[in-house]
Amino acid sequence: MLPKLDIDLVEIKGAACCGFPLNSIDNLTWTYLTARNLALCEDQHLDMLPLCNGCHLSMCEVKHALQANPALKERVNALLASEDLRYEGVARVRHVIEVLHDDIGPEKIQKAISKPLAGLKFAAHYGCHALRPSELGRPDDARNPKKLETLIGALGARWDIYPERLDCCGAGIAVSAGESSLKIAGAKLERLRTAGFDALVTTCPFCMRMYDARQEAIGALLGGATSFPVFYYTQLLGLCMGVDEASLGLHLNMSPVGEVIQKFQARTS
Amino acid sequence: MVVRSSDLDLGFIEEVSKISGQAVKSCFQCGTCTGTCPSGRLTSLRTRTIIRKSILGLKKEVLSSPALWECMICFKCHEQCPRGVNIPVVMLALRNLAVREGVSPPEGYPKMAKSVFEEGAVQPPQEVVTRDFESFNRVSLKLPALSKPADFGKFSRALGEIGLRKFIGG
Repeated sequence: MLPKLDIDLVEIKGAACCGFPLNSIDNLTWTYLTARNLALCEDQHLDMLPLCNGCHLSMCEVKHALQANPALKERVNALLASEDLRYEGVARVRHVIEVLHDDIGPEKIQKAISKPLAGLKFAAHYGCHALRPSELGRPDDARNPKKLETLIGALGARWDIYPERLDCCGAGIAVSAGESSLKIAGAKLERLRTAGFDALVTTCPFCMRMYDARQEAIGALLGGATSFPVFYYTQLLGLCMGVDEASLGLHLNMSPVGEVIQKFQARTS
Repeated sequence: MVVRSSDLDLGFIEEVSKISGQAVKSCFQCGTCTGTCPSGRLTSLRTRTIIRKSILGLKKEVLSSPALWECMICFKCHEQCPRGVNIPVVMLALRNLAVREGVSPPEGYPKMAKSVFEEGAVQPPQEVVTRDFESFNRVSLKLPALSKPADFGKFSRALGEIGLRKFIGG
């Protein structure tokens, strides 16, 4: 979707995992893996756009840590030297929400869409790492973020805030306490079903996995009443710009998105 | 519970503070962290207690506690902490220390570490089944191959040097 709004996307050659889950095992391993991806961006003269909140937070945290600790930076660079890479800290890191809201802007999005999402109400889910820890500087305000709702409004759709808006999706304990993580995600879905929303919207793949891909498992655990449509923001953006469903990957959402797509198509035909 | 002075490692909190870079001892046990914690409502994690036990020096008990691995690293506690302690970072430091002391983390972690070491990602690309029961993989979705380190030997050598091989039992 971003190329359609004049943002060029290029794959980083040689990139690997940012190592976020491995931070629990060994901080240096994670620092090295994240710095490595940043060094690759520097080498290829690219700004970085991590699609995942966790990756984005990793990039920002490691940039900060290596700036504050020159000895650590040199240690990391000694390891990177074997691949002829060097980390200086000059690669810019952007978040999808920042690119959409700050770089492209709601007005340009509004002008770019051909079919507004009128008559549908969406609940925004930012995800913890898009908002916290606030002192590091995150894409939006930790206590009262507004950008994702503004972006939803730019599509012609309604939005509303809800008490659980800033709640975590539970991904962080998916590995260690799987049932609890599903219950945490399920709690938000249960609430949204009866609060008059048509769907949940997010930009983070890990949150998406908890709310969408794991929805069946959540239903099995909590007893069924958690089925609820979940979209990536860019999927809705694409629908409004007339992009076909297959290109948007709408056949891959595990949640019942068909209902919302039908409502959307009924209103514009 | 009875705490004996022989249970206490008085250097533990200094080690934790140094590795995490946090002034953990500034905690005055207000309990806002536990009150905020979304995991603790469903798991055995009592954030305040972990900090208290760390400050007291109950090293073995803290490092072997399953609660360490029940923190979601969501940072809600950190946003609310009146002392500004970055508690998730302290949790991560405690996890690192636990692993170094030979504690086994939840099994997903060694699996992910092995996958990063061998494939460059926490898991290899999966085949998916859609809600209409069709199967797809990256090839059938016409997606390009995932990027990987150009020279895998050098990549895994660097990880091995940091010590990842030891952790995954290689």
